[in-house]
Amino acid sequence: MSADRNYDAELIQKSLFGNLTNEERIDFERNSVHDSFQKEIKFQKEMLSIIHNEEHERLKKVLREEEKKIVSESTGISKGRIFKLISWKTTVAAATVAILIGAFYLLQPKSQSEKLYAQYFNIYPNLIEVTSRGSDVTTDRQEVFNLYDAGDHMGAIDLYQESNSLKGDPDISFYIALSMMTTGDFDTAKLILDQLATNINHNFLPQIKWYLALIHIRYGDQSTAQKLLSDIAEDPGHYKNEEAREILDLIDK
Amino acid sequence: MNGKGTDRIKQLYRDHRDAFLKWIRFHYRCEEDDALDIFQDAIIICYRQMESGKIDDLKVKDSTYLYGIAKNLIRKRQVKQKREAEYVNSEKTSLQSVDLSIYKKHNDDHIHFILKKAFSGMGTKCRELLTLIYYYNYSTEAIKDRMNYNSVEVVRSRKLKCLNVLREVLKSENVKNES
Repeated sequence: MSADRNYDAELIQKSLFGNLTNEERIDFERNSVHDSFQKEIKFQKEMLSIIHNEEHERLKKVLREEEKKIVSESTGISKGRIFKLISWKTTVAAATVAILIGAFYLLQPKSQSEKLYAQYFNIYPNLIEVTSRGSDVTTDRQEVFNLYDAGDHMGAIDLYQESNSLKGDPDISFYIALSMMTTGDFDTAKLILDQLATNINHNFLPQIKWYLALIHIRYGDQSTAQKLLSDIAEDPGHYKNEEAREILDLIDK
Repeated sequence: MNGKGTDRIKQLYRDHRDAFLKWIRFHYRCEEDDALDIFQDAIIICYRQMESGKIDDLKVKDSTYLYGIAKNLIRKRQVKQKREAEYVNSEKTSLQSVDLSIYKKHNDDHIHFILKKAFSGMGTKCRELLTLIYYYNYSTEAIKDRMNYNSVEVVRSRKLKCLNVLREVLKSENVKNES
């Protein structure tokens, strides 16, 4: 830990939610070599998990109680049944209107940010592990890439979450973040990619920047997306240089 | 997180309940208990995102968003069930492959248990403050308003005190284990 323990704790907390600025990211990277900083990361992650579970359980209890109330309200008096019989025509009419309204919403075009994201998001190919379906899988690493290559992204995520041997591997974390994006879990994907982006030696740093830009596009967070895309557009060697320029043009219009 | 917050999630639950249960039974032929469980989890995720400011009320009113969350939850359950079934039938459950990480897991579980117990035993204010930070991702400014503190500095100092209580518990536990 650095001299300012509060600052370090803030840094870690921000990193857990993917809120680090570029300057803070550098500080985070520099401090992460210290044992005490690593201990603080572990402590905060543990707290995050405990508080998450506790609050989730508390809310679940509130909803279970609410469900009991709803059931008792609807089954308490037979008046409800009589009302149902009298007003079945009204119910059918209301249901028809509801379906029409639902269909109207479903047929509405997606938001601009969702469309843009869908247009540019492609899963990154597995360049790490040669996989072959049907062969005897010997390690979790091979298996996670088998699932990734087969498009079973939920399976890949589950294996990642269950296997301790996979978690410390920055390359696998990158691919798992993409699996999460594919399944719509943008929050966790962003959390992972933000953390990976703090490692300036990561093998997939240009790719991480590109996918983070896409997540910000998906969120509708135009200013952060523009910032990341501008970096890519200004880097002639970046593999998504042209696409970044295209998107920036589209956003500016 | 009570009172107003609880009313909000209850309203969200009532607003979507009937349509959601019809939808899930029609598309997934779920058992009643499973359908309710998935619905409640989806509502909690939505509520958390609303509180964190990631989505607004309008987005939640559009039920397709809620259904999207539910679809992910259903997929996760299916994959988990499939993996559990495979695990039971697999030869990979041999002792050799599982006992390597057993010590580490035991140690992690112990730390988790100690911290969980310490958190549960904290005062309401500390628990609320840490929940707003770690579950709802509230900013210091938002916490100041929500919990009626005089300034953001007070919030920071309260947060530090609350976390230090937990750090101390962990520290004394480590000392106990080392001695």
